[in-house]
Amino acid sequence: MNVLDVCQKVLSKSKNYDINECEAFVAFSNSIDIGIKKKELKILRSKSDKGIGIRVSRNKSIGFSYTSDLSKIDDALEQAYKIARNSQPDPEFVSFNDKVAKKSLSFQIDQEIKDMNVEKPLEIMLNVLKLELDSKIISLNSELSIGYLQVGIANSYGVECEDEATFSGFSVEVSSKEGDNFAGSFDFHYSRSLSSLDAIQLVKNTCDNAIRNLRKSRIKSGQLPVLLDPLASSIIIGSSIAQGLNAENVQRKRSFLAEDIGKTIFSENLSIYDDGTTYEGIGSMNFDAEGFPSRRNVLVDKGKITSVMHNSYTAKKENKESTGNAVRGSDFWDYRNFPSISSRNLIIHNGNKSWKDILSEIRRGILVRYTGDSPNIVTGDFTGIINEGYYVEDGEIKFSVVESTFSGKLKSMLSKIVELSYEERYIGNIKAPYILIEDVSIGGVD
Amino acid sequence: MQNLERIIDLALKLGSDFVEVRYEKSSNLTISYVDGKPRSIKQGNDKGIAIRIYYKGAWGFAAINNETSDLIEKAVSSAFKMAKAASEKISSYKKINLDKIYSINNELEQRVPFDNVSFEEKVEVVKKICKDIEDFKEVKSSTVNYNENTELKIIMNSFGLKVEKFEPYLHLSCVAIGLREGKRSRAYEAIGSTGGFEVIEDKKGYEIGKKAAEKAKMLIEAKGVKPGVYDCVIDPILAGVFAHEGIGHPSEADAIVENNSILKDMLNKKIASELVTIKDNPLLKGTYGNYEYDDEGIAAREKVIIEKGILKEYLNNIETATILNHELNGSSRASSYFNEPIVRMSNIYFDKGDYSFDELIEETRDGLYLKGFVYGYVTPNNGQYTFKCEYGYVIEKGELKYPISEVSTSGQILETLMKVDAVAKDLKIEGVGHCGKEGQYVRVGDGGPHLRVRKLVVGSAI
Repeated sequence: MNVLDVCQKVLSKSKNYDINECEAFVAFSNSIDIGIKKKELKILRSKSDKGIGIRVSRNKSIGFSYTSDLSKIDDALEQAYKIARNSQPDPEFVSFNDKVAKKSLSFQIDQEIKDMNVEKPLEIMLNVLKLELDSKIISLNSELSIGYLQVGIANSYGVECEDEATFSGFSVEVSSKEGDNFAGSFDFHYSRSLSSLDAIQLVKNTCDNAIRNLRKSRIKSGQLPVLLDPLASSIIIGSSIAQGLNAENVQRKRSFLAEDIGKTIFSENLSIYDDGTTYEGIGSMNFDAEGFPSRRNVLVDKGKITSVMHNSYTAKKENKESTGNAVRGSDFWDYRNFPSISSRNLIIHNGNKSWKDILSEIRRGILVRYTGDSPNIVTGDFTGIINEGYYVEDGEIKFSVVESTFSGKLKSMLSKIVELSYEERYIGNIKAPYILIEDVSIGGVD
Repeated sequence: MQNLERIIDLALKLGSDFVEVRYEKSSNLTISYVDGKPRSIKQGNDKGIAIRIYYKGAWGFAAINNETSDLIEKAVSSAFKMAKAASEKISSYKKINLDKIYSINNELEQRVPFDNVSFEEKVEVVKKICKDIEDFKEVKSSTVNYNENTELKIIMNSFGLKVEKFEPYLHLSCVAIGLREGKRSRAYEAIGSTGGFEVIEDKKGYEIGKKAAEKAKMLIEAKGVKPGVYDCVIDPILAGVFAHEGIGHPSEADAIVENNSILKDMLNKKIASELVTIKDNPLLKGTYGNYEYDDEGIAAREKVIIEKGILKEYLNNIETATILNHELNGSSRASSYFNEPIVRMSNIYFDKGDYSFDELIEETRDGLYLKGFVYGYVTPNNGQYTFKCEYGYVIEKGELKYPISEVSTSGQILETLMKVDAVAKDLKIEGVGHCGKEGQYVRVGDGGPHLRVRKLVVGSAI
């Protein structure tokens, strides 16, 4: 049975129930991961997951049920129906997605991943193990995974679509030591194919960072320009915008941008779009998690907020069309989840200058590579630790900073973007360049 | 059961050194009301098998659902092949040994089983909480989530150990968004525990709406603080996060063995002030991290990680206990059958001291009182931790003054633990959370009494 067969089985059974609509979402996924721990090939994993998520609506009451047991889809349908029958209606609910995805684009598929061929990923990891590491590197952990996914969606409106995707994810984490000093660094790369992965280079860069991070000092509190590495800019800029322009957050006044749709409030240097149809994007599929056709949406145009991201629920509340941003779960295609909203492939327009040139022009400032903190999308505040960052003086990196925070209002930071680099990279599903913010409040010692 | 035994036999015949099979069957009911109306109500069922094979120091792992005999055989064979392929690169390893073998049926108590309560009654809980929030006109948006889970796990290994355990648990949470004249706030309250429907009454679940709404209202006017260094009193929720991030993660034996923890080679050394005792205990009833057997089938017990400032014990699993030659302490869990069990905390907390809360504040003179928790994380290899507090108060001349908004504080564990100079007696282990590690999320609890830490670096958006 393929994914659409399972969907159709449920749809035809659903006709026996007194419901208004039914939707079936089926996903089959296979993956292989390889884990290196302490510079040893430690574990190989293979996983296979098949399941279905069923939604029904009955007089504006929605029931959702999922199961990983495909021999029990009747029970799952029954569960979904029982919930719909016994729940209060949601007066704001209009209908499930009724737009059929017509186009059929081809996205990047890695045939060796589709075949679940373990040879190539194993070879990559064995090459990682062969690397000669500096004696100051005391630990190296790394994971490489390949995955193949098939998704099928069908509903009572005649939506019937299926698609496939391949994924690869690589991560490396390194610890370093010099005397009593400990430090570390990490990196990762997610893509649709192993061809874009240069694991050796990523590992080497991470080791270099880990050693550089050993030389650390505190800094004084103050206002300084901050250059965000793509790892940091994807979180602070990228995910602030993505979550701030999530229609559900905007409609419920949970977004710091709720009152600014249509306004020019950011630096004119900032332009951002979301596109579920890019060839190499990990968020690409011909349709979203409700079967609505994927497309490109401009979110910010030269500092002006032009659009929010919808799924069918939020769009129909406003009598609008969805923007194709429905996803299920943090991995987008998880049958165990109810549809929510996310950016698909978020792209922050890059600039013209090399990041090294931007760095060379900083008289005193901070280069922030990574912060583990997240922006507060509700209040628009950001406060965070500079987990990996460097003090810059006269255009040069002087030392790694420790125990320092940087904070500010997001709107202020986004309006003070002065430069974006030409160089850009994908961090998960966000493509980001280096971004220079004119000044940010730094918390250190007095 | 015969299926599981067959899997072990198959794997042993292929030449495995150690085999473990874990069958899991779980069900979940989530009722989510947003802005007082039903937004998503979900019921789910999941079941599958996880097979772990150890061969000369390396592991092969396979996880499947919709299993047929063919698929199972394929999974066993692939797990063995993978372990063998990985082991070729391992230079040295230790043989796994298990002293205590038993066959146990274990069930965590539900005084009121979920099945005995109607769906409507469960929805009523959520509706009541939404109604309380409606009384607060400053709260413009809210989310109330009722989350009920039951997990049946059967764990068997090649030593003959067999544990069949049933773990029901409940989590109830509320987010309240405040808004007045363009200024926003966000407040969160949650309760959780193993058990059945009785958890709601036991943990005062009906009060979370009012609490979250009151907090959201107060936080609209909360100011920021000037980033800098402050003497801080932290509340039981934050103390729990402090224990979890600052000590818990670095004390996980896999990080120790992988040279990824600042606590390596520090056993029996003084790493904190004598006022600091930190424990991890899964056996505590009425906590969110409660269990009696871990996911390797090992019996759980209390672990004293730090005793009066001295590091005493790491949290371990079968493999790390073997490598370190330590006694097994049942600290291994997997988020689902899709993952192998790894070392995790359960309920971690600071033990109580002598001060009263009022004495702490009065004696602190000038500083910050930090409360609540938004999130936290640690880099175990260099000891740098961060936690984001939900809110707090400025302490001026020994008194609490005005409220402050989310502040973030960080430090180096080993330095910060030395700066704990007062511990109160009001111990509470009521923190509930889902701890993430290597992509696996497990339920955990945490807590402590109020305590004071001198000279913390604090940041906040002004």
